[in-house]
Amino acid sequence: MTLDLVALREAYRAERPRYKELARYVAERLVAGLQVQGVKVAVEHRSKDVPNFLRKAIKKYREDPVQHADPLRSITDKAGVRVIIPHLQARKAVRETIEASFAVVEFNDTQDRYEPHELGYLGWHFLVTLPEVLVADELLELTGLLCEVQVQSKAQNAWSDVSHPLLYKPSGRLPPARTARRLNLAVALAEIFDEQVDSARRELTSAEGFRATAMYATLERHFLQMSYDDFDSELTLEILETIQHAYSNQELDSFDELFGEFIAYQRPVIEHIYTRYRHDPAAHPLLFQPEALAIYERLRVRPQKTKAVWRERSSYPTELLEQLGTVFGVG
Amino acid sequence: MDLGTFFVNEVILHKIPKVARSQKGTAAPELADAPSALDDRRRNFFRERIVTSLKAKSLPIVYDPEAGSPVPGDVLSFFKLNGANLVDVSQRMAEHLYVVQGGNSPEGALAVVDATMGAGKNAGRCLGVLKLEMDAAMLLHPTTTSDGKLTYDVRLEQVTLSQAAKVFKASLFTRATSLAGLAGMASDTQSDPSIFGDDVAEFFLSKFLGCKRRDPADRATLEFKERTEAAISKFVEDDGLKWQLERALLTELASTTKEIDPKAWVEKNLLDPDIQDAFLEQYKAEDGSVPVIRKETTLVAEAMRRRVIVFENGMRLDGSAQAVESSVVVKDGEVTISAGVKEVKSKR
Repeated sequence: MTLDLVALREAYRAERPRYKELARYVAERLVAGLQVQGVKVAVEHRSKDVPNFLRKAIKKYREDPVQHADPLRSITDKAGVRVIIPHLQARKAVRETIEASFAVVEFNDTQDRYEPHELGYLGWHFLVTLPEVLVADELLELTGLLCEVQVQSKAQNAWSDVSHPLLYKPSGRLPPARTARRLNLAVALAEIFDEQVDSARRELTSAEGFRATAMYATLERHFLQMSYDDFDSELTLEILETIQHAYSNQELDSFDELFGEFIAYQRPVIEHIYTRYRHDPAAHPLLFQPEALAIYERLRVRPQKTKAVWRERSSYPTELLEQLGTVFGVG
Repeated sequence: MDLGTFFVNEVILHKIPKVARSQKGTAAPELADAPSALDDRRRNFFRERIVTSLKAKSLPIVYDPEAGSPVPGDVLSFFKLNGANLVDVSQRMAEHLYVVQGGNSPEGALAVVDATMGAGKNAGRCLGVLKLEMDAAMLLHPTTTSDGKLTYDVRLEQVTLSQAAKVFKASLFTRATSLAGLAGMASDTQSDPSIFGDDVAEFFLSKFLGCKRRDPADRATLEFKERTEAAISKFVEDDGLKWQLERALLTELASTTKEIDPKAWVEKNLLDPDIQDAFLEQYKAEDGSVPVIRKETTLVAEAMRRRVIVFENGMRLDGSAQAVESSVVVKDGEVTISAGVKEVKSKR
């Protein structure tokens, strides 16, 4: 038995628009879900194009003609979404979002493929479908179709992007030992990089003397839930170095909780302000920055203290603080 | 009023010329027939001007039946028709302003602002009435709409902060269904007695807006005194500072100024910003603002009365009349004090 490539091409060509729509929808829903979690990620999506699909079908059929007798069913990455996370800690939120948004048919942590002494491609892979009960009527025709969601850190993604063409094995031959070693060293570096960044991040957000970093983590999460805009993180940290002095030690110890309560109460106001200023070319330069939320909270609760701290410790003009207070109607 | 939730929808502007009182009949306000075209920048510009003004110095206001102004009726009619009569209402307000304002008032504009306040399901229509002076930040150019109506094109200029610092009078009314229920906030940051005379606020508030302060001045002054005394007792530990603040409070109450601005008082008399915040918390109205108080000392007069006893050897006993009268007995030239000694200090 051989593959009927003409029939396969026509069948997939007919199917592909649905996979394209599926990939777009899954990506969109992931971005929305992760915004709710306050996690900023890069999301790419694609549906496998027809020539690529046929090449994969031929290759897979040659490897295992029984399992891949019907490539339309056996090939599961016809719709694909890649989520690039900023650090490994964000994986938890991504997994929760995927599990809350879709029906997970299969989950693989590629690390499980390797023996302790082995190294290789790293990432989380999910095969998902749209849950019928959660999708709108116009998307019902997409239910039952599989979409592959890959979750990778920036380092993992960089490694897989670069090594993929290098690992192409003509006639099933392995790369020379020295070359294989180089690729293994590179993947080890990616793994070490992620782990070190993760550890440093954890240490910094809990270390004495790095209060601003801990505040940053909380503020970034809340900010991204309301505005997915890019912001200047260096400026955020610089201003938080000042604003932290408007809080007592006790308030800083429970900053996450304190701020959660504030946002729960003020969120509609903040979102309304963001909407009204999003297309204003003269909007306050700090408005779409996470630290603006802390300034808003402090100007509401301790206006005099906040102004005094700004005057004494910030190198920015007092008007900047006053005008931000005006935007939020406080101070 | 949570000013963070205040947003501008439409603004109609009318130019009010500067005309001497005796010449009023020779000129008239230049009335627009349509709201100005606004983009987000212009909407936010008006929003920020109003918020800045109300944030700096404001007071809660209510309808004053004795003022005789037609403005409260127009405000009510605006709410009744859900803003459909913004043009008519604003034109009548401009004409009234022209009639009542003094001949020294500089050329300016009346802006009537259809706006919303409150978030989510609590959002509701509100009406802003602003008396503006022309300044470098905002220029008005007459233009006509496609259907031939006069309106003003608002041009915003990039100016320095000092150039844009022209202040003005602002008021904001929340939705009401009766004159008795009409309430809002008014600011008066344009306090130049040389132009408006002594009682600047009263011109805008009473003659033009037809409103009065919500809180009777005598009660508000008494509350300021009581809240300040409570804050001194609660937040100030140092006895020397306590004494200084008590003196400063009495000085403020006894001074000839017509208003008490609690925020200004706190900033003048307290150095520690934490204590400033604690004091300001005491003065906050239910909407979170710290209103300026019109001073009326009838109810605090008794507490302000001092009694001083001067002795032959130069000693002085100085205290509130109430404290002195309840603790000191003067009989046959001899003084008996029946109060415990708290502290004895040496002073140069």
